[in-house]
Amino acid sequence: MAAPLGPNIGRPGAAPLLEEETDTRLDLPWQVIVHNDPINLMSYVTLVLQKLFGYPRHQAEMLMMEVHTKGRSIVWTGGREQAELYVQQLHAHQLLARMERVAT
Amino acid sequence: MNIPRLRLVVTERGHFAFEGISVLFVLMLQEVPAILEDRHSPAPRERLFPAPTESDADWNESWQHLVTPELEALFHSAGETMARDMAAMSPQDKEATSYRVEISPAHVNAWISALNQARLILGARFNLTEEDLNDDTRVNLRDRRRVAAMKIRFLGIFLELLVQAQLDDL
Repeated sequence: MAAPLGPNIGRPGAAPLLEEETDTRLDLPWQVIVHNDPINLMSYVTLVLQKLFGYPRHQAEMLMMEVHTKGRSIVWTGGREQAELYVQQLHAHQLLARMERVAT
Repeated sequence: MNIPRLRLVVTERGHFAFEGISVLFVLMLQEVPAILEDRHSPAPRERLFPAPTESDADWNESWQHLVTPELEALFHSAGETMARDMAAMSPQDKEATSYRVEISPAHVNAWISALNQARLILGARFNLTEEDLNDDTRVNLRDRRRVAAMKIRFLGIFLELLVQAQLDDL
């Protein structure tokens, strides 16, 4: 059910949404974070994490419980372009998701 | 009087079907398209189309232009699909005490999306918390927040059945 991609989002070889020319932290990976919300069903969050990231059930449930009990969970870490794509897909599934660069 | 028992079944041709939908649940489902029309009010919009970063204003703005329209189209299409399927809902008995609606496998994600959108929109519209949703005390029908919380729970029953079916398939 992933949304069609935007012009610069997540296509192989496409440039990231915004270019950062002089940032010395460019090599640092990005984290995709899912935030808790009171409405989404726990089972639904588990399903989305399994479908999008291919996690086995127990891992998806563990991440879902972390979202539920701690308010957020880092569900994926890696390159910026892929992180953008995951955030877009999580939004398409109506999960509250953001991305941020791994802290130095 | 027989109280219908809601269930999700798989038909012979591999479709899903909700059966045993009570009249109350039919009314709840029929309300979904109207709830989805509230998608563009400020609070529901903020919830359905969140920013991708905490504080990068430029990035968030670009996202609004590039990604949000795609999501809007996706969410709209899901609601339309569910509404079309709902139009074919039929009574299961002569007294019309329970109803049935069939969902093709290709429409399951649209149903999940539309049901979840409706729940999120109600939640955002009335700023409902987890405490509100877990409040089991008697619902005063004049209390719009409590009624919204009740609708979220009712729609959640349909959603849970579809989600469990999907989880079983993985």
